[in-house]
Amino acid sequence: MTKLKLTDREKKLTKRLFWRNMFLGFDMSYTRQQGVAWDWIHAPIYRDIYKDDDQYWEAMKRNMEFFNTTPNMVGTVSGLAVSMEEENAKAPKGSFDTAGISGMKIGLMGPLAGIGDTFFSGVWALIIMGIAISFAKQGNLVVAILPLVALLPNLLIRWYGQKYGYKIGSQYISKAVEDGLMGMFTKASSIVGVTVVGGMIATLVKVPVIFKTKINGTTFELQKVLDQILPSMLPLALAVACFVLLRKNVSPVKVLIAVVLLGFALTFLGITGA
Amino acid sequence: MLLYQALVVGLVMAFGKWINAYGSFAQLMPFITYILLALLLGKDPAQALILGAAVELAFYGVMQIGAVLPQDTAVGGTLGVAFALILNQKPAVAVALAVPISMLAVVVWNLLKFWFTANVEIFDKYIDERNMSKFNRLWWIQIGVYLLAYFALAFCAILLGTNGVKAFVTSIPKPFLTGLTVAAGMLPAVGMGMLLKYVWNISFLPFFLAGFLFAAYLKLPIMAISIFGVVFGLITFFIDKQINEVKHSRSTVQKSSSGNDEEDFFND
Repeated sequence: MTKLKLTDREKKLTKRLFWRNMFLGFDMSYTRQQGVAWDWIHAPIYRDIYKDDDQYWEAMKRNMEFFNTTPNMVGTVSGLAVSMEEENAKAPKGSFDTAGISGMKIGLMGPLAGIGDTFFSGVWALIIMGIAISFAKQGNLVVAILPLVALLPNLLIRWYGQKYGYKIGSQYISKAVEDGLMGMFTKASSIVGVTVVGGMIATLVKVPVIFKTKINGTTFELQKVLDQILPSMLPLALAVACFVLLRKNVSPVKVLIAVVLLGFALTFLGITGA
Repeated sequence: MLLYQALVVGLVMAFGKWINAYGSFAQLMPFITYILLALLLGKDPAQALILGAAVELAFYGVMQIGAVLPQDTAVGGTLGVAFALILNQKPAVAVALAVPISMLAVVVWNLLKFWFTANVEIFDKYIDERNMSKFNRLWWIQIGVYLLAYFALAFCAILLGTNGVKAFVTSIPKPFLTGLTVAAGMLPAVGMGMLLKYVWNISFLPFFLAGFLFAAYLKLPIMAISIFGVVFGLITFFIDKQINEVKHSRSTVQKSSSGNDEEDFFND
C-alpha cells in the first residue's frame, strides 16, 4: 500500500479521534447501542469540521443514530465517516447527500463486527488466554507483560483502520468487500481458532480417571487403557458433547450445570478423582 | 482489616470494569487485575495467578458477542479470586464462587443498560437544545455511575459476604471438594463447545483434528499449535484468493466474449 502523508492538522485530528474512540464501549443502550458514544466521541471533531453552527448541530443530530460494531474495529468506520463529513462541509450547502454517511456506517458496521468478533473474541483472545493460563497455572509472573503483546492487534487495527479510512476513503474498503477479501480473512481466522480449540481440548479439559480394579491378579487401570486407545479421549468426547448440545440450542447455562453435575456424579461413583 | 480489603477489592473491580470498556482492553488481561488484587491485599501474586488460572479456565470460551453478556466474568473472576485469597482457599473454591457470581452479576449490567437507554432521550433533548456542556455532563455522570456501581458491588460483597462465605467454605465436606475440583477441570469443555458453535463449518474438521492430535500425541504447547493454526489459515487464505482470481478473470472473459453467451453465463 502507498505511504500516506498527513498534514499537521490531519495528524492532530486523527490522534485525537484515536484516543476518543477508546470510549466506544461505555454507554451501551438497548435502543441505539453505541450511538450516543459515537456522538460524544466525534463531537469535537465535528465542531472542528463545521464552522457553521446549524451544520454542526445537524451533524450531531444525524449521528445519534443506531450504531454497533466490535469496538476494536471502529477506527475504519470512524475515519471514513470523518472524511465524508469533511466533504460535506466543503461542498456547497445541500449538494452533498448526508444519507451516504449513514449508509456507509450501517453498511460497514455489520461486516466489521463479523470479522472483529471472530478475530478478537474468537481467535486472538482464545490464543492469548490459552498461553496466559498455562503460565498463570505455574504462578509465572511473565503473564504481567503478556498484555503488551496482546493489545498490539487491537491498537494497530484501530490506528491504521482509521488512517486508511480517513485518507484513502471508501475505495479500499469497498474493494476489499468486492474481492471477497473480508470473507476470506474471516474464514482464515476461523481456521486458526478451530485448530487452537482442538489443541486446547487436549491440554486444558481434564477428566481425571482414577478407576482401578484387579482382574486375575493384574491391575486394570482405566486411564491407561483409554490413553492407549486415544490420549485425551474423554476430554474430546466431553467437548464434542457440549458442542452438539449447544448446537441444538440447549442454553449454555443448562450445559454448564449438566457438566458440573456429571463431574460430581463421576467422582462419587469413584471413577474420577483429584 | 475487612474494611480495607473491601475497599481494595472495590477499587480493583472498578479498574477492571474501566479497562473492560476503555478500548476493550480487559478482554485480554484479567490476570493483571489478579496480580493487582494480590499486591494490594498483601498476598502472594503467584498464588493469585494459580487461583485466577483455575477461574479463567472455567470461563474459557465465554465471550461477549455483540452486546450480549452471557456471564460477567470480570465480576465473577475478581470476587472469586478475592474471596479465595482472603480466606486462603484452594483454586476449586475460587471457581465454585466465581461461576455463580458471574451469572448473577449480569443483572447489574442489565440494570445499567436500562438506565443508559432511558438517558438516550435526554441526550436527544440536549442536542435539540444545542447544549453540549449538559450533554458532556450526563456522559461523564454515566461513566461515574457505571464505575461506582461495580465498586459498590465488590465493596459490599467483601464487607458483608466474607464471613458468610467463610462459614460456607469451611463447611464443605472433603468429597464434595474433590467433586468440585473434578467439575472445575471439566468446565472448559463448555467454553470450547461455545467457540466451536460460533466458528464451526464441517470443512474445518481436519484442522480441528490436527490441533487435537498435535496436543494429544505430540504434546505440543498451545503456542506451537497456534502457529500451526496460522499456517493452516494462510494456506486456505491463499488458495481462496487464487480461486477468487480465477473466478474473477473467467467472469470478465465470458462477459466480454459475446453477448449471446449471456444465458450460459447465468446458468453456470
